[in-house]
Amino acid sequence: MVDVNLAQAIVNGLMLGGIYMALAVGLNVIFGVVKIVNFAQGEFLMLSMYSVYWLYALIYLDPILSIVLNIPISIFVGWVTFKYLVKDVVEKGDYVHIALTLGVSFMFIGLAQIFWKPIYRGIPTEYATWAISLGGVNIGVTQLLILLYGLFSAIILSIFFRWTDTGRAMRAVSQDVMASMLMGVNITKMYTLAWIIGILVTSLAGNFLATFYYIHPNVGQDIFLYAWFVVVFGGLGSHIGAVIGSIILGIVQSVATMYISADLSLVIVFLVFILLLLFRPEGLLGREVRK
Amino acid sequence: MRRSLQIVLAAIALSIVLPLFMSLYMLRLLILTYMFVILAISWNVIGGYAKYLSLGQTVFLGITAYTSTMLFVYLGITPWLGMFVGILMSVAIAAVIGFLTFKLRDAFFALTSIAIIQVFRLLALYFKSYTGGARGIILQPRNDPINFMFLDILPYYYISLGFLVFSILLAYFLDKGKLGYYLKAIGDDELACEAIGINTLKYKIYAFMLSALIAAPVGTLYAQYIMYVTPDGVFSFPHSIKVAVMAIIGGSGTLLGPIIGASILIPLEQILTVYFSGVYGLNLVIYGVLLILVMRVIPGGIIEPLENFVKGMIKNMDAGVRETSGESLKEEKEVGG
Amino acid sequence: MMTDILNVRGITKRFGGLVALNKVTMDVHEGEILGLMGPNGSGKTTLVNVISGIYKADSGQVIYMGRDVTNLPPHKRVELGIARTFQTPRPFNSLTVLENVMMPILHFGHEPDVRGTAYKLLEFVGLEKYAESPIGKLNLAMRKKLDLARALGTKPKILMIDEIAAGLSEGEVNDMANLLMSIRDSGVTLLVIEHVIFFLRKLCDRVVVLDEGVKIAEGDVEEVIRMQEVISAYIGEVIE
Ligand SMILES: Nc1ncnc2c1ncn2[C@@H]1O[C@H](COP(=O)(O)OP(=O)(O)OP(=O)(O)O)[C@@H](O)[C@H]1O
Ligand SMILES: [Mg+2]
Repeated sequence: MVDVNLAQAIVNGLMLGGIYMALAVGLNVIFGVVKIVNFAQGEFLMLSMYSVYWLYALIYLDPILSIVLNIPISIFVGWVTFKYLVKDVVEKGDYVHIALTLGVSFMFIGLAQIFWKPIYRGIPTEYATWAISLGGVNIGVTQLLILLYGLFSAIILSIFFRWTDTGRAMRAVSQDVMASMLMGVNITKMYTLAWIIGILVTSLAGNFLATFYYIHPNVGQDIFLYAWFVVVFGGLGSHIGAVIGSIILGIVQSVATMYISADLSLVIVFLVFILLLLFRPEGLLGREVRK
Repeated sequence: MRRSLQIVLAAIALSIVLPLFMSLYMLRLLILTYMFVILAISWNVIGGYAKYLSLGQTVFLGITAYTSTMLFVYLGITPWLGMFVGILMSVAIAAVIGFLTFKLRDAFFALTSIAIIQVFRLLALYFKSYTGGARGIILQPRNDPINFMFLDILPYYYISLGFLVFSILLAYFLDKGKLGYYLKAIGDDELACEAIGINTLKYKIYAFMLSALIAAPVGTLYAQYIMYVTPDGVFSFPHSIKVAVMAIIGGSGTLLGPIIGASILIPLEQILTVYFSGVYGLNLVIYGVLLILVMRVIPGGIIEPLENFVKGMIKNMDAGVRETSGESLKEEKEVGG
Repeated sequence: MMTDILNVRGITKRFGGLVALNKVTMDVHEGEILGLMGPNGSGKTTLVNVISGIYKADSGQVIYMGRDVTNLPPHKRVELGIARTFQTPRPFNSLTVLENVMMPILHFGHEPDVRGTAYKLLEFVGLEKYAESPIGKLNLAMRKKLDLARALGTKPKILMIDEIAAGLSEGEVNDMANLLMSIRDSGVTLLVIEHVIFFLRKLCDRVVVLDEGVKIAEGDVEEVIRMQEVISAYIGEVIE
C-alpha cells in the first residue's frame, strides 16, 4: 500500500517541478544558443506575473485568457531588452553577462518595488481551488496546468530545434558560431530569436503561476536558483533533461520537506547541486577548453 | 608616489580626528561604509583579480559572526578571542571550498557560491537549539570592553577604521606583490598560466583564503555592533550580491575600485532612504542602472575615468608648481620577489 | 646512441565520436628540431595539448626523459622543462608586454634580475620596443613572438611551437627560422608544428606527418614530402 501522504507529497512535487520546468526551459534556450547566463530570467517571470495581475485588476481579464495579450507583450519585452541591453555584450563572456544581467535583475526588482510596493498579491480565480481527487490524493487543477505547460513548451521546443530550418540553424549556432557564420546563418538574428523565445517561454509560465502563486517583486529570485539547478542537473541545452530534472527536484524537495524539514530539504537540494557540478563538470558544462 | 603617501596619511589623520565632532548618524554611516568597503576589498581579491565571480562572499562574515557570538554566549569566551577562532575557521573553510569549487569556471562557480551561502543560511536556520533559528542570537548591550561591547559608538568606529586600514594594507601588498600578478594572469587566461608553470589551483585557493581573512573580522564587529546575529542578516545572498556589485561598479581588479565603489554607493543608498523613505527599491534601481552602464560603457568601472581625471589634475598642479622630477606621475610597477 | 628527450607511446584522444589522435607513437631526440606536419584538423595541436597536459589522453603514455609524466598536471610538466606556445597566442591582456614575459621568470625565481632577464628575452625575439606597451598594441605575428619569449622564460628543455610562421612574410619566416635555430643551439630541443614547407625544410632534422590522427610518415623532410601517403593526405591543400 502506498501511503496517501507520500503519494500526495509526490504529486505536490510533480506540480512544483512544473514551475521549475517552465523557467528552466527558457533559461536553457538562452544559455544554449546565446551562451548567456541570464541572471534576470526570474525577473521576466515576475514582470509577466505583474502584467497578468494588472490585466486582471484593471480590465478583469482572466489570467489564463490573458495569454493572448501576454504573448505580444513578452515578445516586445524580449526584443527591447535584447536590442538595447544585451546585444552589444553577447561576445563578452560570462563575467560581463552575469554582471549585466544582475544589473537588469536589480533594476526590474527595484522598479517593481517602486511601482507596485513589496507586498504580496494574488489573483483570486474561481478555479484556484478546483482539484481532481484520485484515491485520496488531490491534484490542483492550476498546478496541473503549469506542469502541462512546462511539458508542452519542452516538447514544442524540441520539435522546433529538430524539425524546423530556423531551429536547426539555431542549433548550429549553438554548436559552432564560426562555422554557421560561414554557412551564411545570420547570427544576430538567431541570438535575438533565441532570446525572445527564452523570455516568452518563461513569461507565459507567469500566466499559469499567477493563478495560484503569490505575486511579489522577489518572486523571480526565489525560483531562479532552482531553475538553474534543474538546467545543470538535466544537462545544459537538453529540454528533456530539464523536464526530468524539474520533476526530480520538485519531488525531492516536496518529499524531504514532509519527512525531514523544509530547511534541511533545501540543504539537500543545494548540496546535490554542488556535488553534481563538482563531479560531473565536463558532462554538465558541455564545453571543453579549446586550443 | 610621495604625493600619494601624503594623501593617505592625511586621510588617516582626518578619519581619526573628524569623528570626534560628528553626529551619531554620520558615525553610523561611516561604520556601515567601512564594513562594506572591507567586504568589497575582500570580494575583489577573488572576483576582481582572479575573475572568479563569487556571489556568496558574506559567508565568511557569517561564519565569524556565529563563531565568536556562540563562543561568547555559550562558553563565555570573549569575542576578541572568538574573532580569531572565527577567522581561522573562515580561512580554513575558504581553503576547503576553494579546493572543491575552483575547477568550475564562470557561471558555474557563481551559481555554486550562491548555493554554498544558502547551505550555511539554511543550516543556521535548522540548528535552532544552538543558533536560535530565524530569530538568531541576541546580545544584551552593556559597557564591557573586555568582551567587545561598548555603549558609546566611537569605539566601534575606531575598531572598524582599524579593520579597514588592515584590509587596505593587505590589498595594497596583494596588488603590488607576486600573488597579485598571478591572480591578474589567472583572471586573464588560466590555461596560459598553467602553460608557464603556474599552479593555478594553488594560487586561487590562497586568494580565497586571503579574501576570507579580509572579510572575516567584519563578522565579529558586525555582531558586536548591532548586537544580534541572524541567518538572513549574515549569510545574506542580497548583501553578497551587493558587495560584488559595488566592487564591479567601482572597478574590479584594481586596488582603489572597490574602495571607491563602496564609499560612493553605501552613503548614496543611505541618503536616498532618508530622502525617499517609503520609496522601496530606489537603491536597487540605482545599483542596477549603474551596473548596466558600467558593463556597457566602462567595463573597468568608475575608477577608470576618475583615475584619468585625477592624473590630469595632478599633472596640472605639478606643472603649476614646476616640479623638476616627473616621478610623481609614474606608477611604480615594481614586482616584489 | 641518440638519447630521447620525449617518447609518445600509443596516444589516443577522442572528442565525442571523433578520434583526434589514434595510437600515435613518436620519439623526440635530445637536441634535434623535429617538425610535425599534417593537413588541417589532423591532430597536431591536440598532440601538443596532450604532451603539455592540457588534455588527458584516453590511452597511451607520455614519457619525458625516461619518466612517465602522463598523469602530471600541465604546470608540473613545465617545471620539468616541457614548454609550448599556442597556435592562437594567449597573452595576459591586463599585463604589459614586459610583464607577460616576467611572469614565468618571477614564478621560477631562478633569475635575480626578473625585469632584466625578461627584457633580454624580448630583445631576443625583437619586441623590446614594445616592452611597456599593452597587449593591444601587438599584431598577430608579434603576439606569437611574445608567446615564444614567455615560453622561453620557463627555461624549457623541450619547446613545442605551434605554427609560429603562419602569416609571416618570407623574410620574416627566414628570421624566425634563424631565431629557432639559435634556440636549439642554446640546448633546447624543438618540436615545430608548421604548414610552411620551406620553413620546415630549412629548419628540421626530421619530420613526423599526421593525418586524421594517425602517424603516416616519419623521416627526412625531402623524403617524406615525396611519399605517396603524404601527398594524398594533402590532396586539396597546397603542399609547397
Ligand atoms: N576541444 C575540442 N573539442 C572537440 N573537438 C576538438 C577539440 N580540439 C580539437 N578538436 C578536433 O580534433 C581534430 C584535430 O584538431 P587539431 O586542432 O589537433 O588539428 P590541427 O592538426 O592542429 O589542425 P590545424 O592545422 O587546423 O591547426 C579536429 O577535427 C578538431 O575539430
Ligand atoms: Mg593546430
